[in-house]
Formats: sequence, C-alpha cells, structure tokens
Amino acid sequence: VNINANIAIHDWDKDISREELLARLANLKRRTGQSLPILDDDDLEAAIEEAADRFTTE
Amino acid sequence: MAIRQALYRVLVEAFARSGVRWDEAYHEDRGDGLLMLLPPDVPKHLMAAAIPKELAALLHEYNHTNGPQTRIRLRLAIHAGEIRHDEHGVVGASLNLAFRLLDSIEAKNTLARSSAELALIVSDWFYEEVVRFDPASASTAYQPVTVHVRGTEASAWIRLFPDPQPSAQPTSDHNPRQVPDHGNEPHTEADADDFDKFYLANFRFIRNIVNARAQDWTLAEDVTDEAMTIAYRKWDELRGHPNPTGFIVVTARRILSRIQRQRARNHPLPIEAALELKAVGPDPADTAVNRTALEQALRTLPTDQRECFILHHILDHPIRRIAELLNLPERTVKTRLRAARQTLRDLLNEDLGEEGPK
Repeated sequence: VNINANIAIHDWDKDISREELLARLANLKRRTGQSLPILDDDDLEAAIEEAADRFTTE
Repeated sequence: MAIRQALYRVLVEAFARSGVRWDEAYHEDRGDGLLMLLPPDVPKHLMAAAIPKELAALLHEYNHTNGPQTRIRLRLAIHAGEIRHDEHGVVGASLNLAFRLLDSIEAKNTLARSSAELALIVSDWFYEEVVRFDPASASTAYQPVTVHVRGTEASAWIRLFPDPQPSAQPTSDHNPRQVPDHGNEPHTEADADDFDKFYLANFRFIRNIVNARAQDWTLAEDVTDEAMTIAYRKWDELRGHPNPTGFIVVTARRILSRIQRQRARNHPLPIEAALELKAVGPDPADTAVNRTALEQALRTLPTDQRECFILHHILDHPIRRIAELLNLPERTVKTRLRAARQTLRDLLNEDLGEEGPK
C-alpha cells in the first residue's frame, strides 16, 4: 500500500473559527464564575474527577 | 455603516471576553445605539466590571487602529430591575430610568469634556448594591452625580474609560463600607487577559492532541475545555509555569482516561474489526482506500502509540516537543513511535521505514 500521510492530515487537525473559540471561552468563564481556585493537588484531583463525572453522568 | 458594524463587533467580543453569551441577551437596535437586557442569572458584577472594561479596551484598540473620522465614543448606562415584555417590546420603570441616565446632560457633558472613549453611568441602586462590593468594579473610580431628565431627578454614578485618575484611592467618607475579601476569585482581571490570549492561541493545538487519543472531535473539544477550565482556576500559578500547555495536555489526558475507563465499565466496546481495505496504485480510488486503511490501522493502535504517531508523523511535532507536552522522556516517545510503525507495518503489509510513512 502506497500511503501518503499528508492526505490524512485534515482528519487530525480540524479548523475552528474565532467565533466558536470566543463562544467556548465565554461559556468556560461563565461556568467557572462560582468555582473556587485550585490551590493544591487535592483540589486538582477533585477537579479532574468532577470534570470526568460530568461526561459519564450526563 | 462601518462604525455601526465596528460597534457591534466590539460589543460581541467584549461580551465573549467577559464570559457573557451575546445570544442570551435581549437586543433592540436603536440606530446609533443598542438596548440590551440580560437575564437575571448573569452575575451583575460582570456588567459592572468585566463588560465595561473589555468594551473600553476594544474601543481603544479600534480607535487606535482607525482614523479620527471613524472614532467611536460611547455612553453606557446600567441599571437593574423588573421588565415586562408585551407585543410591542419591553417596558418598565427601570428601563425608563436607564434611558434617562443615558440621555442625561450630565453623562453627555462628562464624556464631551474629557478625552475618554467610554462613559459609564450606573444608577444609585446598582452602584450601592453591585459596584461598591465588587473590587473589580473599582468603585472609587466613580463620581456621584445628580441627573435631571424630563423634570425628574435621580442620583447616579459616572465613570470614564480610560480612567483619568487610575490611582485614586478610596477616602473614608467616599466608600465607608468594608470591601469584602475577594480571595476566592480564581484570578485578577489582568490575569484573565493573559488567559484569554492563551486560550485563543492554544485551544486548537491542545484539542488536536486530545483527539489523537479520543478519536472523537466533540469529546476532544469538551475535554480540552474542561482542562482549560481547570487551568483558568489555577491561572495565578500557571501563568508563571514553564510549560502551561504541557500541564493542560496532561490534565486533559487524565480527564479523558477517566471518562474512557468509566465508559468501558458501563458499556464494554466490541473488539475492533480487523482491517478490510487494502489497495495499490496511484488511482484516486486507491488513494481513498489507502486513506481509509490508514485510518483504520491508526484506530487499532494502542492509544499511547497512536497519540505519538499522529503528533509526530501527521501533525509534524518534533519528538522533543511531544515529550514536553506529554510529560514523558524522549526515549519513551521514540519507543512508542517505533512500536506504532511496527504495528502499522504489520497491519498494512507495508515497509514504512524508520521515518514513518511520509
């Protein structure tokens, strides 16, 4: 098989518009508005766990 | 027309930077202005601090870039209260007050007599209940005024951007109430500026790395946002970090791993189908088949190998950079690349060579 990897690059690097980025950024800040800062490793572990849970409990 | 478009552009971006979604606000175009109503769940301190600040920064940027003939100077009035919607639009005494503040001679003169680009006038209620208690709103930058419009008189507070007295300190009688400790804020406003730039510059890059593992653009984008959210909450520390991108990539990978483990427990995946497509020759149909075969082969790689292979051989990142991003020794990255090439070689029955398939 004569594979040219360049033909597949778009499958792994998709464009994203500035408008979508700004909307995502706005949403991120909105969600973070009431959150406490992460100050230590325990906070970080808890934040990672909460983030993962949001995907699996939806 | 150009000024009008520019005005909307800076407003939309100011809202986005402030963390308020433009499309959740009610808008009424007023020709040379705009009425906006924000729902009650939008934190009021954003209206007092982030939105005017971002709006002023964007106006300044626009005015600096464009000539004096297209210069924009704005008056912005803010009040909060009850509004009723009917078939003709929106009504309410609070709305009337906001318009009276906006059209007051005091607001117009304050802006006209200054070189400022934005005059913000807020009602006395809004100042006392929101501005005064929010350190980010810089309550001492406001001056009290009594406005007179259509025979009515109301107390209000005016602030200019840029602030003509940025270092003004509160006096004992000007701001008598204790300012609460804002230690729970994730970061300062200055930090937020840095984060915005970082986010806009790095989101796509980090999402690509996550997708190399997830093979799911939606999941990759959402996981990247979760990792970025964590970064935002510890930005005070990360902004001085030697490799903040690497931290976020590792955080995203950890979130993704947890998700995948939990999903695998709940819904075990079927064993991956064997490769079915192979083709030879320069024919376009063969090329398409080859591409599909490569994609399928990549999907069968162990996640760690696929991640390194895509980052290096497809997205063209140097091994050293991949090692930094994934917090791995370079030799581990090389080992994974070697293993990925060997696996692909076996799957595709092709000699990919030491440098990969390029």
